Amino acid sequence: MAKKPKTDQVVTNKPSRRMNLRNYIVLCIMLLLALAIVVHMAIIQLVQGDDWLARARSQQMSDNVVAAKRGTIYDANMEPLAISADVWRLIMSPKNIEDVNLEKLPGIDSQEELRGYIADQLSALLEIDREKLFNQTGKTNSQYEVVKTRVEYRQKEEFITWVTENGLAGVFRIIPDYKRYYPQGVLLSNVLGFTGTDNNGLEGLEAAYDSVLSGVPGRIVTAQNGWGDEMPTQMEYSKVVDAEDGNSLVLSIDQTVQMYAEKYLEEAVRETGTTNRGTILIQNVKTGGILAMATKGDYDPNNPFVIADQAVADAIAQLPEEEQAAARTTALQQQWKNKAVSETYEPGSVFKVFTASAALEEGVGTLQTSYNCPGYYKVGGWTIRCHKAGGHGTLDMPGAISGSCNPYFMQIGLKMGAHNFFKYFTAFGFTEKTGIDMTGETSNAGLYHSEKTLSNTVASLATAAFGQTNKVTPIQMINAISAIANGGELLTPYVVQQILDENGNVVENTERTVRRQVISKETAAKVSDMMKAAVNGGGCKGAYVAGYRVAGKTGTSEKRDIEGNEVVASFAGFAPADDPQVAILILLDQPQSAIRFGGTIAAPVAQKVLSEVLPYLGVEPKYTDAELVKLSTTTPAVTDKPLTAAQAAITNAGLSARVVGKGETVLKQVPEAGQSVPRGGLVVLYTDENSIERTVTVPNFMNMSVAAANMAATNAGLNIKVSGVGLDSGQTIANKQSIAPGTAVPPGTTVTVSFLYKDGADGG
Amino acid sequence: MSVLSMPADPSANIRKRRRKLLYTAAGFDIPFLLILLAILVIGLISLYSAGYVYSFYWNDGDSFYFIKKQLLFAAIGIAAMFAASFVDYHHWHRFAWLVWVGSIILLGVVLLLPAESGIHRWIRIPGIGQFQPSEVAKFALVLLFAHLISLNYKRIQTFTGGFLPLLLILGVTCGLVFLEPHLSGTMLLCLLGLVLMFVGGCRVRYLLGLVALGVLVVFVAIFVLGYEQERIDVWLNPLEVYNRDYTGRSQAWQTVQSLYTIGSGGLLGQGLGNSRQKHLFLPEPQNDFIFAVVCEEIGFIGALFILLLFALLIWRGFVIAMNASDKFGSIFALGLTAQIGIQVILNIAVVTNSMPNTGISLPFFSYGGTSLVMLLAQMGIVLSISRQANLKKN
Repeated sequence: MAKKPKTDQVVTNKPSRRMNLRNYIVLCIMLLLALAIVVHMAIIQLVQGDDWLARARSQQMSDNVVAAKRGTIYDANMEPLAISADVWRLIMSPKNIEDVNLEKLPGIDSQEELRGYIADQLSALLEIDREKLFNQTGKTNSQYEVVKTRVEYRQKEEFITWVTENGLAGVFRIIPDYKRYYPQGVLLSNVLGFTGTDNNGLEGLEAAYDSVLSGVPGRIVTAQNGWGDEMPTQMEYSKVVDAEDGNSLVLSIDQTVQMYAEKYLEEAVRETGTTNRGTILIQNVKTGGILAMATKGDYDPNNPFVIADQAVADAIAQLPEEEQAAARTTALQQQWKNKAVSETYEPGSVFKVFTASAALEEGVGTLQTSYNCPGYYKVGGWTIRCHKAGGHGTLDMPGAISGSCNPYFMQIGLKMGAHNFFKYFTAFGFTEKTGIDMTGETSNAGLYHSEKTLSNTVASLATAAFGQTNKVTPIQMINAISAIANGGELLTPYVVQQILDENGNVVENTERTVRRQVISKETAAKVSDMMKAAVNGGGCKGAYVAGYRVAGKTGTSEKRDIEGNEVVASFAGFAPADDPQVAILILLDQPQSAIRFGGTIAAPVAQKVLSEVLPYLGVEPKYTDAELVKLSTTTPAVTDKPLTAAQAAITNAGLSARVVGKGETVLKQVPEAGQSVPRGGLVVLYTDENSIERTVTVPNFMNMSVAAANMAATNAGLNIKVSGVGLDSGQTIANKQSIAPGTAVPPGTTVTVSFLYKDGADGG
Repeated sequence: MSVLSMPADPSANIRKRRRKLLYTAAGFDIPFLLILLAILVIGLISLYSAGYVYSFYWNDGDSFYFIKKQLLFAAIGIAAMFAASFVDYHHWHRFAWLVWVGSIILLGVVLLLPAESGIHRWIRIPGIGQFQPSEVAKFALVLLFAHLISLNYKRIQTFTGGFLPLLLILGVTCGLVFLEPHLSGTMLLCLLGLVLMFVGGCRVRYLLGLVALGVLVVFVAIFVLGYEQERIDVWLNPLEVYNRDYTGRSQAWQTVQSLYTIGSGGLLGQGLGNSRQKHLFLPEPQNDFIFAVVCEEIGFIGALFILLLFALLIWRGFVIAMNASDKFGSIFALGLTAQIGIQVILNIAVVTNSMPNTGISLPFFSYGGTSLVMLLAQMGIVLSISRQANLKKN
């Protein structure tokens, strides 16, 4: 001890017993308190531990859903029709606004000003509503406010730049997403359908194959700290469940075929003023796969909620405000509906081919079976008229098909009886859904006469026999037509040929599915021949395509279940008749044109489509001698050639040459090389500069016959391309020309003139 | 009153000799020192683990800022501790009043200094650091009480001669701390004063009366005058308040995050260093809530082990107090040890929400240099008391 303390007497003062006793008491009290707290701690850690841990984890983990890339929809040639493109979702965390370092933002001194700044700048940058954004910035409890969805690459980049420049990286983040694009726009819209905001299929194939296309969303669970910042990954706090991208569809539909189908259908719908839309179906008769399926009017699946028909949109805008929403919904539902599978119609005379098939198959009649048509037929107290005043007289079966005679089919229908008729009505698939792999195939249950009704009411059987009163769907019709074309096998139609996984491997391939043999090959061949005859010189010649034997039947059915005198004009057929490849159905619902027979307005659509589609599909044309004469040829290239050589080349190509100018060399030719002109057509050769400027005036071809139009064109120094008629060009009048009358054009220019058969009547 | 009276029984003498050999090899109480160093080492490890995230974010990316400073102060503190252990603690008699008056002046000064976030708590000395006058006051109170009780032990049971002077001293000290305002400091001082008065020999009925008065005041303040409603509300329904408003760094936030943290630990913990709550969820993980992070990382078992170490330290401190060679040393050692004990209990009660939330640090764990140096120096005094007792016994 260094030094003795002064207060010596205290040193001798040992702790008393009382002090030590109280020491123990204090120690015990403290230990008891500590023990109580330890018990509480045990409750928190051991009893409630899992609950607290779960709560803690939920704030420590940020759990983000990673969208799965939706599969692509390809056409038969792997051309994409529906694709998913990368887009981004922009997320704001208003909670973090209070942590922003305001020093980096000159002129902003408070959180309030920062909110205003963000709202001003971002609403302008992203083209969004400023007020909404400003309100979002005020939700300081929230870490997840969606600023904008489906932001595309460029805007995303601009956004990132802005965020970085303003030091707001803590407040915003981006989440990858996908957006559905339909690169072909309206093409195939009613089949493809579209997706909703969360990329779920809402209509069409997008809906029918939603589970196939959508894939499985992934998750990224990342650890975050209390400021919402991501934790370093080496801490193994993040867990990634990869998204499984959706499978892709390869359709049986061929984009090119579809394009032709839509082009000519749209033209027909527009020109005939069809009010209840038109539809077209092209089917591979051998596999059942659909090659084209279109409805007009349709819509743009990129903007499905826009009413595509401007007239309809305008009409809705005129309505009182309270009715607009409902009207809009109805209009949208209507434009999304795939008419080819979702609506029914009375097939009219087209149906006669099935009555004929039934009669032949059951032996009720032969090709030679004849009936007389006096212009009407009396049945069950009703007098039902034929379309031909005065009647067809006595007809055999091919004549009845070609002439589309109603009394003939009433009589043969009554002869076969309700049982046989209904047997084939059922056998051809008209009483069941076809089972096509799409949503929205409607059932025609209740829309056709039962066997009982048919046997009880002879008038019903008689009218049904020529295609009235029973309603069917367009898909049922084309499928039944295909059965005749392919030798009697009813197939299951389909639009999805293959399902591919994300690596392009085939997961599923649609096989040809035969539902039943409806009629024998022989019967099918007989009916096919009759249909071929009907198109090639018969009553359905509007569908004639040179070089291809088109078989078909037209129909014009009255819509007796609605107000007014409305009809459905249709054509159903297949080609080539001797080796059928494709079946085609065209349907114009409520055309408003002056002539609205199926043979006049529907058959030409088939003609136009088939004349493009058959060569495209590689079906070799087989021309008759009569057809060869009228064939188009291709102009040879003669520009810059000596005049004499040019003239020889043109003559060799089966064309005639007309020289303009005095030069020795061809400076310019009209039509240019590679243009299609009728055999024997004119090629004008210019040999000096001065002559090139010369023009001729296009005459008015309207209402001319083919012969008259040819003459007028030749006189004017023009080439004419005749469209819409076959070999038998009598009884046709021109109703359209590709270049307006009075237009000044270079000599040799080709003018396409469309002709209509005046006598397209097909008796129902 | 013979200090030097030795035990008459020789066998008892031999027994004591053996114990001395075991416990007092270096002159002072070895178990106390070892337990203390164990706590200090664990505390430093815990501080590094619990504090590096905050350190990183608040000190320009320096994860080691807290631990570096704390290690430095721990070294200084250990030096101070050994130094203090060699000083005869009786010298403190002379400074008892001086230290107390000094602490009262400091408490007055801090009230006059500009407030930080509405409270007057810290005095900053540029170049040295900062310290809380209330920390000084704790030591001053213990010293002055030990001084007065040992001198006045005969009259300690009287009201005016024993109880009243102590009460006045306690009242003045607590009053000033209360004005800062510093609720937890006030509470700690009150409890410390009560313990010293109790052990020092004050009549139990006076103390009970005092406690009853205190309880009444607190009761009236809370339930009649409506003070501290939020604190009570958070204590009783932490999740409810938290869900109502979890935005700010509210009291509910602290309490609930602390419960998340402790609960996450379970029996065995997430592993040392693996706390996730310290990643800016739990406020003050390096300070008042360091024990919550300890619970999360090493679990109930680990936390219990640390509490056991504290219990052993307290027990050893009390043994030193009881074996002290005089009443001054006994009260002094008791006060310094009890201070640690009370603070540990209050701290753990707060982090487990066993009592309303009030900021109180965990000795030898929480970040704070001056506090650590002072604590270790005070432990040095306890060692000095044990050394003299042992010397006397020798």
